Amino acid sequence: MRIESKVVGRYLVVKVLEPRLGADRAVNFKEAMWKFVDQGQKSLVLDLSSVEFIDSTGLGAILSVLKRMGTDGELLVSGASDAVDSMFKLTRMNRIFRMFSTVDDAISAPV
Amino acid sequence: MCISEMTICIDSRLESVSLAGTLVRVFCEGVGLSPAESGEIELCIVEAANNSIVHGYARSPGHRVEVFAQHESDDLTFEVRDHGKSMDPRQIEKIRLERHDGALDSIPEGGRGLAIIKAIMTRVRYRADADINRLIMTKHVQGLPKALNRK
Repeated sequence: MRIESKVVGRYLVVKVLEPRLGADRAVNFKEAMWKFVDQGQKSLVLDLSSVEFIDSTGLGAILSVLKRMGTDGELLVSGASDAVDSMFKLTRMNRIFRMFSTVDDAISAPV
Repeated sequence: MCISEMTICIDSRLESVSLAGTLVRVFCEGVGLSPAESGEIELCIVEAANNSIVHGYARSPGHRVEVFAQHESDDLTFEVRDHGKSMDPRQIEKIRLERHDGALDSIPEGGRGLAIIKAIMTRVRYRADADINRLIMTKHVQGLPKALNRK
């Protein structure tokens, strides 16, 4: 699972560099993200702008990160393509996650 | 050009599923579905094949997962077949996408695959005959071009 991360203000912005976030990549993705959480990151932006396809296992992995962060954590999702956005809406995960068009929109959004 | 039928066989490895999904998406675009509709069908194939591998074969590689796609009139029919452990056919009737109004911890991380398929497809059936399990998914789309006649 290829990801890149950078600190922007109080956020750690994590960009997924894979075009697909499916069941075959979900475990690696989850482990990589959990590391950030376990290191104490409480504010994450997950940049999905390079992801063209996500399945329910990939979505579950993102949900697991939010759960790992607990109630005082913040996981914002940015850059979802039409297909990824449609998946969040179909499963009603758009009500669980705050979603933004771009990373800049996410990090400048009011808390 | 319209393709009327396609069969794909992949090994029971999660890494192989994207190939089946991609080929079915191309098939759907070839018969006239929009990219968005074709992407939804791809998602259904991926979810069904993942289920075959994870639940049917308990993630064990070296088994067949077959994906069949057919275009006939305004119906697109897809079958995902495996020879692994069957599921209870009554499960199909019960499954729905749940609302998530409760605490975050109460929201399941998995188990949405069939519910997603049911939400996208027009009709979903499951048959376990002898040693073959079939998830049969039909999508009715009005106005598709006619399929090529097979000789």
